[in-house]
Amino acid sequence: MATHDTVINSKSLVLTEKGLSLALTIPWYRSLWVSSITTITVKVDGVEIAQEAMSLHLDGHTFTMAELPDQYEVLWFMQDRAVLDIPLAQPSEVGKEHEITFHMELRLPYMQIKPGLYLPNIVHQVVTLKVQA
Amino acid sequence: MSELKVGHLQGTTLYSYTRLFHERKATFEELVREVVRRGQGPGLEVIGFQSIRNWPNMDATSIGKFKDLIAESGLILTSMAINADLGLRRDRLLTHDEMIDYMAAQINMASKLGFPLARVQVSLTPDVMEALLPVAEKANVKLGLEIHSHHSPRNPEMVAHRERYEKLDSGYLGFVPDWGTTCVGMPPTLIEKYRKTGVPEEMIEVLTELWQVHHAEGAPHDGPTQGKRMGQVAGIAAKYGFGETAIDYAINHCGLFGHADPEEWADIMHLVWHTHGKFFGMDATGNEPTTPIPAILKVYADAGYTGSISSEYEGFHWNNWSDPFDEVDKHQELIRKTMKNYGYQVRTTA
Repeated sequence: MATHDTVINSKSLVLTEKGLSLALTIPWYRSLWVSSITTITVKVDGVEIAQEAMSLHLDGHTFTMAELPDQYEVLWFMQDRAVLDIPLAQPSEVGKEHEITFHMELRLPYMQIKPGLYLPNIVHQVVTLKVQA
Repeated sequence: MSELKVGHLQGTTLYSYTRLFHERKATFEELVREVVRRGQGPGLEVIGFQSIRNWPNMDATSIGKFKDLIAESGLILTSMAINADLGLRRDRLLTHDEMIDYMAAQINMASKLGFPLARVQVSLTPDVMEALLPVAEKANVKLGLEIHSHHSPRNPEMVAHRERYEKLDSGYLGFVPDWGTTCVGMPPTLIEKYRKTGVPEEMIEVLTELWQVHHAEGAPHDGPTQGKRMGQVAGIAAKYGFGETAIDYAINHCGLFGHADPEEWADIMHLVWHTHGKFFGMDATGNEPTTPIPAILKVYADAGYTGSISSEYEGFHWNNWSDPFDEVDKHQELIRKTMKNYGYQVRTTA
């Protein structure tokens, strides 16, 4: 549930020096601690991007994927966009279309189902987006 | 016709308009002003972790701005919805003391902003609630534990809370009923969304039949029953090729549209000051097909309830075509009409 269709939109994919970036809206009805992000995987035109290659920028912070679980003091605010850096081997260009497969899982820290297991929120989207300037 | 008795306070929660806020189509202030313009108050409920950046840390300037806006709006603050993020750390749960501190900071800020009540959630045990009582008394903020599907008033966990609150008899510990606990079906707009997104008709039929099977069995009273039901729904979704989001179907079906009998609310009405009038979407005849408003409000009328009710629209999770403000208008109209039939005049002015 929860507004999955809002996590990325037609303006989310942006050209960067190293490849692309994807602006993300938190797929939940409230702000959550960054430690609530359990999974982010991205495929660009069917090719999965290595976890080590990606980083997340939010409210002045930059995190590698490996650093996300420790961020229990940084809130991802409802109206902020977290920007995911996606380096590409081949540069892209403004106006080009890419098929983006985006998968994200959150664990909701106030909804423990049983010890150590939290209610997840899972977003899985396959969309074709045009690269923005 | 005999004179109408004074009824509950009408209100809304900004949760109803989450989609507008989320998409940055409206600011907090714009939402508040639209609530006023539409006459959807006077009661106003806010979610700390939704509307307020860095909640519950607010400086004097932001507190002042918040209070000025509310004063100018003429709305009455009813409930600050706060969260018990027990699992915010990955390596361990918050300890009992950390949890108390985490909740106390939110309760104290709710008090500073002028809220009479804080909505809290099931991850708090009766022991934590009892430990929070001195905080609540000092802050003069009542604590309402939300009873939300899949829980229900007669779920043993909720009964344990009720017995503790009755024993303590403090006037500060009670419940916030969420009407999604007592549904009579799956929302037609959700089915419509399934069709729009290519869910096969056969899968829709299987899912709705299963919902009715669960409904005939009633609300689950233990974790394993709930787990088994979620597994059944996830299995169906996976079978039809929705394996990636199977858990999502399970959460929707088993977590949002609860199976309890509306009469169960009568068990706790003496401990209720605020309510989540959860609904999923109004139909063309002005009725709400999923949450049985007349049956639920009968319990409220019989109890002589004079607390507040937030119209809480939740169809936005899947419904991206309806205007949430229109939905709340229609919901409140139905509530006023129903209460009038029961001899009550809903309070619509401060």
